[in-house]
Amino acid sequence: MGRFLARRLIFSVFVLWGVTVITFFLARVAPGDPARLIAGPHANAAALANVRSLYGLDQPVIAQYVRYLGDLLHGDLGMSFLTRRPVTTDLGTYLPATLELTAISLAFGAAIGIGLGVLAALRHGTAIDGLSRFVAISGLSLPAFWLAMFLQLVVYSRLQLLPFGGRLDTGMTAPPFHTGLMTVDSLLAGQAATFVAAVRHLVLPVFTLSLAEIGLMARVVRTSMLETTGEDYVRTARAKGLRERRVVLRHTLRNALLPAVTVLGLEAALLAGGVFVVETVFAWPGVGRYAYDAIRATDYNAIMGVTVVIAVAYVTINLLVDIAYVALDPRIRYS
Amino acid sequence: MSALAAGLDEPRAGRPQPRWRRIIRTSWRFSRASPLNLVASALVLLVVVAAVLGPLLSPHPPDAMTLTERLRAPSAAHPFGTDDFGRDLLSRVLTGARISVEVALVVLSLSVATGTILGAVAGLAGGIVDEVIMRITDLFLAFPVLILAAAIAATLGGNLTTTMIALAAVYWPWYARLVRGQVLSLREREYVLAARTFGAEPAWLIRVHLLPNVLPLIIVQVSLDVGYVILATSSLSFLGLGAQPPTPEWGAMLTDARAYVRDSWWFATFPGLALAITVFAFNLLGDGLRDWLDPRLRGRA
Amino acid sequence: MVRRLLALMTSAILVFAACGTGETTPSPTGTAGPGTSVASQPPATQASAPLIHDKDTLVVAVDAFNGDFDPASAYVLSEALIWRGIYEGLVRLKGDSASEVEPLLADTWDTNGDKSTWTFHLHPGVTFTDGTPLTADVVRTNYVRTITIALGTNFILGSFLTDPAKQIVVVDPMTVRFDLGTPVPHFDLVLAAQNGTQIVSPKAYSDHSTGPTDQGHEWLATHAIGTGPYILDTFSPGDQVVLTQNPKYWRGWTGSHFKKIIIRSIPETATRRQLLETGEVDISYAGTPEDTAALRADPKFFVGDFKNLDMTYIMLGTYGPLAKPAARQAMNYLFPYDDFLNNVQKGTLARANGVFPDALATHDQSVFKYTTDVDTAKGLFATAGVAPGTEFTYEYYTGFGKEAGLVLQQQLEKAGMKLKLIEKEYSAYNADLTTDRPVAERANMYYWGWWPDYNAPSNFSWILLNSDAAPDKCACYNSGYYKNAEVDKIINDGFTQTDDTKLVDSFKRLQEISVHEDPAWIPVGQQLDDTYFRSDIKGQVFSPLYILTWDYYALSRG
Repeated sequence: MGRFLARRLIFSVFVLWGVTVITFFLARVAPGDPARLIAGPHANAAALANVRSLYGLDQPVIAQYVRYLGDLLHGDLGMSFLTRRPVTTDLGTYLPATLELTAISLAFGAAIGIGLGVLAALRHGTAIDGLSRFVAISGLSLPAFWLAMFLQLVVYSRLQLLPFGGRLDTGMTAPPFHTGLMTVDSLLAGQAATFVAAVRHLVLPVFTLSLAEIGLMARVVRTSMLETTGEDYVRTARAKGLRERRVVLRHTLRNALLPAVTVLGLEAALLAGGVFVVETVFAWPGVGRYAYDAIRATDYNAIMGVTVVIAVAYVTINLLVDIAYVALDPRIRYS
Repeated sequence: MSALAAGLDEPRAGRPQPRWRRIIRTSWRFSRASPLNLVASALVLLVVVAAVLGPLLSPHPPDAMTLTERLRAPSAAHPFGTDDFGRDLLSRVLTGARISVEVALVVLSLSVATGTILGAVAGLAGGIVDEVIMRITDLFLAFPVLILAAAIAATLGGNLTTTMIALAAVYWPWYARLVRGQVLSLREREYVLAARTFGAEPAWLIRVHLLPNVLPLIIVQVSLDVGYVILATSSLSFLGLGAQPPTPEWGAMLTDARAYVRDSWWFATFPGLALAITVFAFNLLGDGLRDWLDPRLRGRA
Repeated sequence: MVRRLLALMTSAILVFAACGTGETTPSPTGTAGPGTSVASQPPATQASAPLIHDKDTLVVAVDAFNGDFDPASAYVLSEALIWRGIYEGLVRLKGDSASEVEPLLADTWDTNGDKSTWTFHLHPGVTFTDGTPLTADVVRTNYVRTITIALGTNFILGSFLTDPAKQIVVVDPMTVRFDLGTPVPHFDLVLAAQNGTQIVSPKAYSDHSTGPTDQGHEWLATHAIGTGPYILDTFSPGDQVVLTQNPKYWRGWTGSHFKKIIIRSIPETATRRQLLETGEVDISYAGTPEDTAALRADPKFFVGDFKNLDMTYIMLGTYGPLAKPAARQAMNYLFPYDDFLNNVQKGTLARANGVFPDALATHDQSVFKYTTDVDTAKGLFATAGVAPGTEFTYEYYTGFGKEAGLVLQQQLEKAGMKLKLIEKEYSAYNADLTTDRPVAERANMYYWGWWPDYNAPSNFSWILLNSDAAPDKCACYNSGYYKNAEVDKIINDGFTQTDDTKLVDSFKRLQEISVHEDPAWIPVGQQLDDTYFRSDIKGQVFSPLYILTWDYYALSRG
């Protein structure tokens, strides 16, 4: 286990380093002049030169990269050219919004998805299995941006059931910052109205974001449930005369959850993509929308900051999943 | 994992059938296996027909504008209505089918080719080569799919070609992993060991033993990925990083439709429906194929 | 569809003004209120949409805003719409006039006989929100900084003040004098320009300076301290900005005013309209022409429909296939003006009469006007030696110019040519316009819009048409590298022309050249300010030059 961990850690560091290399050089060949972006459209040659030297943009690309990496190791992600604030400040502002959105979507999606998958596996080959499959695959297939459009039109504009855009009602002051999660902070501050508003603003984006996850989770749980049903220990349990429900809960589900955990790890990547679209269409002030704006404006440091943070999250989650795997299933041994 | 392959190579007595007949026969067996499989086959067939015959079926040229016919509701002349330039939406949706299918084909061919070669090399060579290739694979997997694709598209300039390159860059690692895993498990099989002992060429090994085993896996993965690729392409176009006007790509059409969704429901409805149905069809097909090819998951029938 | 740029550099002397009341000294009461005269809105009895936020808060929805609170560099509409609540200048344009000036931080002003020296008397007792009093020295150091630090807005005042430290004189703590050295009949009009004239607390650039090239610039990217009615409360890039009342505002808070201003960034037109209709938003930038038509008909809202000095046009690159004037004339003959304006824009853009907006001084109403004629265009392309099948490129930025590009694409197809559309994000697009590149890397056409800093033909045309304003000479907007010696001369002479008749004649000639003889653009149309307002919003006065920004202090809920 120790050696396995060490090996995985080294790989993780390698992967993260590679991510910085790729994004850095990708960003450097992108069209658009960052110096002009910083200095403003009317800056004269002197002002541009000034900006270039100030930000090290007149240095060779390799030197710029070394400088970036050095700063990165000190936790400095540089300045965003677009917002004119340190990228770490921006991420501090936008990351909690994304975390709140994804965590809730993940929990919601996993709960529904696992339920659907278990149901399908138990009623394997019946109409219920077919229906669950239909629902799951529909969830995977609906374009989030299209769905968002109609949710906005029907639920927000026509029926006026739920709010659209932003994290709180217009004009509402955010509760004092503790976690950055509106739902948690409003409860900590004892502001019931703010809490209700925060929850209401979450409903539509969470629903949209979790659809794909429900689909994926349901399919994976169903498949692995069916696979484990055929395993010896389940048969033994059945042979021992245990009641079907117990067999399912005790043995099949528990083992089927292993792959589900793995999928949760992969979900992080999937959700990062989903968040990118969903935040943009729902005007949700998170890192997804921030990344979108940054990419559109070739805001180097912001693009790199977002990518590095997401890669760190992805690598960490995968590491944890691997560890969880070993912990949950003692039969698994890593060489 | 060879269990998965079992579904495809059911040997039959008698003379070998022509390939296309085998494909049709296999498709038919697959479609009969469950009602949803039938739905999947029918929908995929519909999409493919639209993609192939779309230009013939289109009542109007997809880019022809009639500014006086702007935002007309569906009618006999325009069954899907018209868009904000008076272009016929039915014709554009049909043309969009071809674009989506083409993009998916190109992206997945590139991904499969790159992934298979790198995966096979990694698996066969082992050692440091394997290590390097797999770490590069991990590296690409650590990127958030859409964000990397968006960054590449933004770097190379947004259009369908860069979208395809970007998505291929994102999808090949999955195939590399798949193929490498298969190669590793095959390497240890007795008959391969035996063949090697007798000095078989690696190329021969790949052709005779590896490909037949890995092909079904790749087919399942491809059919599952078609939907994602089409969806990702549309997402990028929707965000302005993919297809450029006047290309009738569904996501790009939905970008335009967004501003009119309130008063002209048909504009966003039809391209979105086409996209949703297409993605649904391929996802259902892939999912059904996986079930059908894996005997452990087959129905109790 | 919003021009994010409100800009202009100029040089030399402004002479012509449509209305000669600029130098009159207004009443010395010191509390001359904001322009309350002209309001184009329905009577107060109109029905209102439901309101689902605090009635003392004004919520505006714009496509995007940027943070730059440094008057030395902020030059863009998306910046001005925030700081307009925070900063003030010495004077400003009155109401809906393009040429009448009224007091703001200066109560009164006077000028000498030949108008080469202008003296401004400041309103007493004005303080910045950090407590610093407003004095003549503060005005002087502000303008010296803006001009010498050269971050973009320096040319507006700088073209009249080449040595500002010497030419701006503190007469006494409340009096500041500008020694221009040459007659400038309407220098007060220049000082009323929206950009490059605003005054920021000197502490901002003394306490937060990191060096002589910075002078607090970096700090002012996210902070603002002015004398104005509102204070920057929270600034969340890409999301919203909150302004709150400055309790010690020198004009006081009697009467009806908003306590809080929220500016939200909502890029989607459909979302903006829905926010307006559900009562979340009070003022919204215009959406599609269909939205505008629907809201015009709805008594719960009113639509600006105010024609200002904002020109919309397609720049034609004078290189490659469009090098010859005949090819550029062909483009002008191809554009489907009526079809585009009536059916696509549905009257939200008015047909342009030449390259000048029609309220601009010296505008010639009888200037040559193209009709849409594909055959003539084909002939002209042949004359210019443009081979059939040539592919042109057309660049625009997200949300501005796609429609025009698509109709032009269709027209070019009819003429046997191709058009490739290239969409860029705004900042990348702006860089393309202002950066010198080899011909192979330039687009053949760019969709763009412009309005002048103040109402003068040379001011408007220099940055757009003068060969010194091409990207190889300056970061200006003659991005088609238009070069015509006669046009250059007319523009340069126009700055110093003191005879109005001669000015009109020479610019009539300029309009004929740049429209017909040697076309610089396809003049597409003149923008109407179609901002949507809830009908209970009172006090709105549209200005022909302070475009698409609002005087928050003047607004209230009726």
